[in-house]
Amino acid sequence: MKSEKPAPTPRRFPPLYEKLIPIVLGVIGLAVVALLVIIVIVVSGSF
Amino acid sequence: MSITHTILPFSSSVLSFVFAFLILKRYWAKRGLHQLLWGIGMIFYGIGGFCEAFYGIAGWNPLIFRLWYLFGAILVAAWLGQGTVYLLVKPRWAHALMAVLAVASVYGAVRVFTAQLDPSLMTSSLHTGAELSGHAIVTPGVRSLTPFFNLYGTLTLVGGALYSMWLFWRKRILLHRVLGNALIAFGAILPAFGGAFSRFGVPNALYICELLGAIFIFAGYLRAITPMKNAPQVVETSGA
Repeated sequence: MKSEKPAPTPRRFPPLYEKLIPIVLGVIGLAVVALLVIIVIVVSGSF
Repeated sequence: MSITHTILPFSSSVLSFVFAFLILKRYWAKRGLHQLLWGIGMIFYGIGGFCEAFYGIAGWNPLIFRLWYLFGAILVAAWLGQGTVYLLVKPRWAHALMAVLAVASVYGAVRVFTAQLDPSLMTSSLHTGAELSGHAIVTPGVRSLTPFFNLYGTLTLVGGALYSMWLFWRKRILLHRVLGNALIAFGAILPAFGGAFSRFGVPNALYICELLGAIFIFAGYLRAITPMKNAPQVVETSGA
């Protein structure tokens, strides 16, 4: 009878980082979008 | 002469040069092109801060202005971002982008050093003239170069840091690199906002954001290359 390998258990960072990191990713991502909008406005105004 | 217009940019400059030295020392040992580009980028950052401090202490100088605008306003973000490109993108594409950046940088240098300047234009309804401002450039088309370089720098440096952060977080590995890239992304975006706020007339925004940006990028780099000593252990959870 073949022995089956147990399914790998999902890894997680400690709870504080699990909560904070997605928030940080989202906030900085939004900031990048805002900055790109500003740059587009500035470029549009230059032409 | 105020602290904001002298000590802040001077501190930013010193920190940038120290950071550049550390990165280039690491490049010398490991020969990663990304480290070379980051080191060059941080030298540009330092030159920009030095020119700002010089202006705050000694007043207008056309050479200092041109150096500030070229290195601090146009090139720094793009060259830092190019370092990240070498880290994340296949070498053939990275070299191609580097060639484009090099040609564009030479073009930018020619335009800046041949531009007509009028320092009185730095004092406008939105600006006091206490900070360096691209408004001193009279020749049309020079200032419009900046957003393209900054756009490339933002997408590559900040975007690259966010992408790296997401990659490591998705796999739940190398927590120190997740945190380091978060600090780098935040630090990289600060000067860009400072420049934008300055362009819209918010006083002192540029110099404050530049110093904070340098601090966060430096801290992020140190965090990213240093595994955490008492690393929080990855928690294995059951599949159920």
